Amino acid sequence: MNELFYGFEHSPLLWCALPAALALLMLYFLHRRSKTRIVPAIFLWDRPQASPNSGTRIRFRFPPAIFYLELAVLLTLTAALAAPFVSTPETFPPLAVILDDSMSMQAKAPGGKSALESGAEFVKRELRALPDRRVLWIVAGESPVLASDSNARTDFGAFWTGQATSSDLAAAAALARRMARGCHLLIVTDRKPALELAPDTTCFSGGAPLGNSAIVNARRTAGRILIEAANFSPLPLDAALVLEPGSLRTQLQLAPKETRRIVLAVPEAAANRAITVRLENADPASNALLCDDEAVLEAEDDSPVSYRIAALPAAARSALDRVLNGNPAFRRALADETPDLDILPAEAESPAPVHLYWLSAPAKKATPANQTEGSANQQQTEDPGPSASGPLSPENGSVLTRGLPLDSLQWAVSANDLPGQTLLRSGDVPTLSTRQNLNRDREIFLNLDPARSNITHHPFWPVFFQNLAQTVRSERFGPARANLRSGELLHVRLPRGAQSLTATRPDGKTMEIRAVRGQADFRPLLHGVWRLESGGAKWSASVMGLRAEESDLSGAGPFRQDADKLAVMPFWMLRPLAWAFLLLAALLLAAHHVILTRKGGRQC
Amino acid sequence: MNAPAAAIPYFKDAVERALAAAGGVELTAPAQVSGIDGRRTGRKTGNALEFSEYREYRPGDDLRRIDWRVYARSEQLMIKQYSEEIDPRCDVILDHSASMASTERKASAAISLAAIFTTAAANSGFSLNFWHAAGTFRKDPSPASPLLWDFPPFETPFSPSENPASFSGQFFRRGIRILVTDLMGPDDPAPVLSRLADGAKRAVVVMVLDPSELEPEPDANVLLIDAETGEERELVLDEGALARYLERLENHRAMWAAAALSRGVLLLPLSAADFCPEIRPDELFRAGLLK
Repeated sequence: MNELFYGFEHSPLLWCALPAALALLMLYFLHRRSKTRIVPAIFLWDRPQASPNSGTRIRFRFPPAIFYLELAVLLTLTAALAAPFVSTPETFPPLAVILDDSMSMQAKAPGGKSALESGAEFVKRELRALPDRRVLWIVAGESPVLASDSNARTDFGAFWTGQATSSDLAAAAALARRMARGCHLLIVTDRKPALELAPDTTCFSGGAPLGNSAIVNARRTAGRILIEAANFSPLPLDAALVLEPGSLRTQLQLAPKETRRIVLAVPEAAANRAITVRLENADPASNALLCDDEAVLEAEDDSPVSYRIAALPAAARSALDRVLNGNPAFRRALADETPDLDILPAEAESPAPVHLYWLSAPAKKATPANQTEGSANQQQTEDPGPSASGPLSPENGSVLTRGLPLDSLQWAVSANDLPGQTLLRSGDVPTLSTRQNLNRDREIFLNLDPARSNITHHPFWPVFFQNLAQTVRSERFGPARANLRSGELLHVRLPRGAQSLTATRPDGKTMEIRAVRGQADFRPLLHGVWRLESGGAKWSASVMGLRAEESDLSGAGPFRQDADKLAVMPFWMLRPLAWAFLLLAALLLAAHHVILTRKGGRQC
Repeated sequence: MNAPAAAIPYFKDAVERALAAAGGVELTAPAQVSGIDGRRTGRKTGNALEFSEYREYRPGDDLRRIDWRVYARSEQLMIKQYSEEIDPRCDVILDHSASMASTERKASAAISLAAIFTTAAANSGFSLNFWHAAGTFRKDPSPASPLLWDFPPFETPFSPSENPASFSGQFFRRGIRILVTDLMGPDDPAPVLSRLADGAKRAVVVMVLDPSELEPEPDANVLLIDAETGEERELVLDEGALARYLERLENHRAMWAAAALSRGVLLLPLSAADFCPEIRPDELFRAGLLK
């Protein structure tokens, strides 16, 4: 059973013994330095061991035994003064250290310490007095995380970085109570917590109310950037908003406590590149937190969809040419290129992530993939196939059917049924459906005979292909979105054969996410640019984690509540040792007295 | 004239104390004396001129001294004894080696002893020489007036025993010779004792030591410096070191005592504490040196 030893590590009185012992040693050496004595016959005295020719000798003269006795008295008295006692680890309940990991912990006045640094010192100081005690380390970010649970000393700096976009202390406390029943809490934050603190909770805040300027929100749309800048200091702010690349500067004058929205056009030079927005404030007194001065906005992938068309009936081919030729959202795939979209007359293998199966002829006599356009057109003429009956109605909201104009649309179908989830129906006949195959490829089924429809001359047709382009872009390999807010789910479609995604966080740490059916989903929390890599392909996603609640430091401030940790311990479980040290000191003093008396008061 | 004596600040006090103590004291001669100038007879029998008494013959006696007429009358071998004639002369020799001043008390005691002996000898009407054994032997011009002594300091870097050749004073023949020293030399005592006893009627070595030399106190770390050679030794004067020192001191004294005994020299050990700051000459009376 390991025994804990209290009273020493947190008591500086112990160290008083060190200079006292040094003083005692100096006194001894001063008192016992060599005295010169003239003697008439030195040959009557002992001869030193070394010969006179042995050169200069450095002789260390050990103090006499009584010195060690007095030193022991000194140390034992000091130890008694430190009021030590022993106990067992079982005597104390576990200690849950809850570390506020939010960004505001990094704020500090010029030349001062941040709440994170002050808190780290406090935690180390507290834990020095608790050796071998079971400690649960809970990092309170957006959601609490149990970082460590051990009796050994833990390097909490490895997981406590103060980069989370918020901290949920109440959830962290609840997690601690759930993980270790009856545990004591030690909360380290930068302000008085909003939650009610139990008597067994120690809380330390090393924060201070500081002025700060920050970007509290940033978004990027097709050609614009929306930025919210705030001045949380009590003085007016004169700052500049800088966009990189291009070094586009916009001067800002913000009144105290003002938050302003700024809309900027994306510079042409940065149209397809990441844009860094930086709030430049040269006055450190009104900018205690630096990590909220910058936001990165990645360029969303709106490049044209590459497509390939297999052998289709002439009418279908003509309809496609009408909508695709000159459409900036589409381009024809190169010969050696894997297209984003493969347009096929029937189900077939394709390397493209999206397959559009256009059933443009009667299903029973569907044109084989290798059949020529001319012969297919001949069959269609011979057998017009089924016709749609009933009004068109969309089902199961989808990007593909978003905003489709259906009025005065004549739709002739080529088949009576479609696989997958129906998105558009004409009477009882599904006309548009979608599904994912086992390869996570998106399959879209279009049941349309263009020869007997007016669709190619209807607004439906270009709108549908705009929706198709958007769908295809979202089905490309890589992250579904290049910009998202902290905590939102990020879908990353992995290249074929890739089993996992490696995500590098803004702080440089990496995490591995296993793929399920070719897709990796996770919720990035840290503010900044995340680097993603899988199967040799690399992408990046910008996570916006800046929040006005974190950047506003006016509510931060010092706070301290000490839990009466020892008072709740049953007295019989504590074994004070001061009396033992006092008794030992008394015994040593008695021995000292006896030795001196025996020597007749002479110094040995 | 007494300028050198002034170099020793305690010289005058030591002499004045000795003069006060030796006011009515006389030096004891080896035999009873009466009259003056060669007509005094000693207590010890010898081959001098005056008949003293008879005694029984003991083996080893000179056969020429047997009184054959007494033998004829009583058939007993009787030896005819004569009173010894003694010259009333005295040589007082003071060792001026540096070890004599290892402590001021020891030096003062040595000065006082020399003054007592010279004063007592003068009181007894002895012819007197006072020798300073300071490297070379030098006779003091005012032996009976200690306050006028031409007194060199105790600085000689060796004891008489260490350099017997220097022990070459022109002593009185058949007189009393008194050497005041501490005998703190590592060398053979025979040459010095032989020189002292040769031609003397009585030879006395007064060995004066300081209490700190007779019973040194324990101490922690002490740097011992030899008064004469300057040799240094750093020691912890614990009980063991002191015991070994006392053992060596006792052996040293025993060596001198044996050598003195074999040469008929009286060795009288004294403590400086008996002569400084107060003079208590009891040991001198008990030894028969003074009366």
